Amino acid sequence: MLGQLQRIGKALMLPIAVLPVAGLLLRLGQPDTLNIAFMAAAGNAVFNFLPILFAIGIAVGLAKENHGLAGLAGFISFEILSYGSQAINSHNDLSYLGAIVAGLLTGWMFNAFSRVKAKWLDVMGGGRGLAVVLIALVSVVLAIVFGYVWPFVQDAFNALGHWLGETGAIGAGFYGLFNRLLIPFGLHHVINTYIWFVYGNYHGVTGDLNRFFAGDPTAGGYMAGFFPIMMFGLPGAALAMILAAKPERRKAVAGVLGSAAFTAFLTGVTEPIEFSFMFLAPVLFVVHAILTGISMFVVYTLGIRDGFTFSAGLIDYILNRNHATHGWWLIPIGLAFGVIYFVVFYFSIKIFNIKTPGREDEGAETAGMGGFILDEYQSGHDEAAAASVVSTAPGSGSGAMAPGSPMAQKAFGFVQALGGAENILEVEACTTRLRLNLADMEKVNEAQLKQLGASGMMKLNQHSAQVVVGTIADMLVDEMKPFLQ
Amino acid sequence: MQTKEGVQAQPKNVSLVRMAILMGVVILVAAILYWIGLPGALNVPFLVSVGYAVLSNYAAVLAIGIAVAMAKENQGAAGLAAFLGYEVIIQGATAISKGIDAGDKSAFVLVAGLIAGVLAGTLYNRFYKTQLPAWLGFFGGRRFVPLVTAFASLFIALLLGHTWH
Repeated sequence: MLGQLQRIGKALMLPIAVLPVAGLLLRLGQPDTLNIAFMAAAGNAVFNFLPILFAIGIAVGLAKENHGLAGLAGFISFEILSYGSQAINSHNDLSYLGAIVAGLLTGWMFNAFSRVKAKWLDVMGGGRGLAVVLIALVSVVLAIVFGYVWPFVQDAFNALGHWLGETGAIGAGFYGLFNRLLIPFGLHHVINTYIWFVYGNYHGVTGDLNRFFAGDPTAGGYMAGFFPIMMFGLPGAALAMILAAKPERRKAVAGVLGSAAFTAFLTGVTEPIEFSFMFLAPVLFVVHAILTGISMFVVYTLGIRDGFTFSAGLIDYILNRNHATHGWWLIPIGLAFGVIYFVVFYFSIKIFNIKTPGREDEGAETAGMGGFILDEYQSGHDEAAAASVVSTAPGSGSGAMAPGSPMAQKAFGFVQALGGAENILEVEACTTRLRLNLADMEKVNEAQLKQLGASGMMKLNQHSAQVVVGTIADMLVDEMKPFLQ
Repeated sequence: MQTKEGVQAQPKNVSLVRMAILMGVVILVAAILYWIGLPGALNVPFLVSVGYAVLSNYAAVLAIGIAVAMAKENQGAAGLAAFLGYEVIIQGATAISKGIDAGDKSAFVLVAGLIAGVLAGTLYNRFYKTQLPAWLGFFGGRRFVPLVTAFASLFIALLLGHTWH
């Protein structure tokens, strides 16, 4: 169950990565910025067709090897379901929910159907080609089901939306809390998708994010509260960690956490800071989640509304300033949160002697968890170290020919550290993590993983695990694949 | 995976020719559903609708198909980028020149589909390994492709918007 949900969370990443394009084009094109009408029109187009991008992206994300034919099938399936269900009941509007369902069904069907092997199928791409045709036909049948069932689904989600609307600021607070608590599992995208793309209705536009950009003055209540946390709160925590580091290591830590703080402030990408203490001090992470909830609650209560297409950083703050309601209030509130984070983190680290970066015991450089964040940042630059690990590793026996590029060497090292090719049943990348399905968890050499630049490892059960490697995850997996065959 | 039967039965990559045949089959199936639903045949409006769902989007299907066939290992990110580029071209160009007919059967959507497909496929192969600075790391690799394609399509839209008649 958790595994399936995580796959869905991961599959949502590709379409979500497209959003900033829409936001940039729309906002830069609008009259209050550069005033280029055709750019705004193109940005608007992306917003209008987001459901289709979800259908394609989710299907691709779930499909084995992210095969493109699954995307084609997802598109066709969604169009058939939309047109077909509307032919039965003209009030049906599949929108995001329908697109997600279409994407999920397509992804699963694609993996099942594409196993079919037959010589005569080769002319149209083999089993995968057959899968596209079969998915289209199944979608025709499903369109009938959707036609009759969808009104009830729509009603249920409208009721959920009404209920959430009535909880007001409290609902926003709990959303903020769970949004952060789900980050370690990568599941926050699942609830984000409902809130940002489905919740509420403004002239036919649904979702807090979409409505905000369509000019709904009430929208943005589920995004505004992130600005104080991401622009000021977490940088405050980073400053606390820098000052709490040992004097002789402070400079190195400042270099890394300083740039992580700057990244959070500028773009709203907070994972580098969050991962630096998530594993070391889970309690602090829970405190961070609670503070996020409080920020959402306070900001919502004060009637502040602001939004983003990427994340709550300075770039989105400036870009969307004219859409925001009382947007400037976020700055003083943010400064207050910055102070709160700094105080909470600094004294927690000192009092409970938490081994945040730069506080590791002597000689525990490679084994200590505090070094993780450093490694996450250096990943990509420490090929020499990776290469040396590979050469000293107790080779898996098989003709260990020296792989070419630095990333390939790193990948080779990971394959070995994870117990060799035969131990890795499945590996996938998700933003900053490797999702693994392993034959034998015992064969994993965690110390070696850390030496290679991994920031942490989460064992979900006897076979599935996640290894945090930083933003290189996607490319690392690509380079690992050749060694697994 | 590397067993003999696997190699025999499953072609490693879907080439442009195979993709063309597959798209032909899909369009044909849709056309058959459409025809048998027409008043002259079985008279089932539902079938006309589902057939029309695919037929009216044939240019988008083309864009996705071409991009996927061109992309290394037929990666799906190229298909997503192609659809994105297709819409950016159409919406951008029609915003510049209201006179452009971008209806289902227009030559314009066909051209937009072809360009978007080739553009996304080419850009995928060029950029799918792009490494960005750490603070933009999320948008590196395959996720960079839709972004590049969208901006490239904007220029195509600008060009077509001023030249298409």
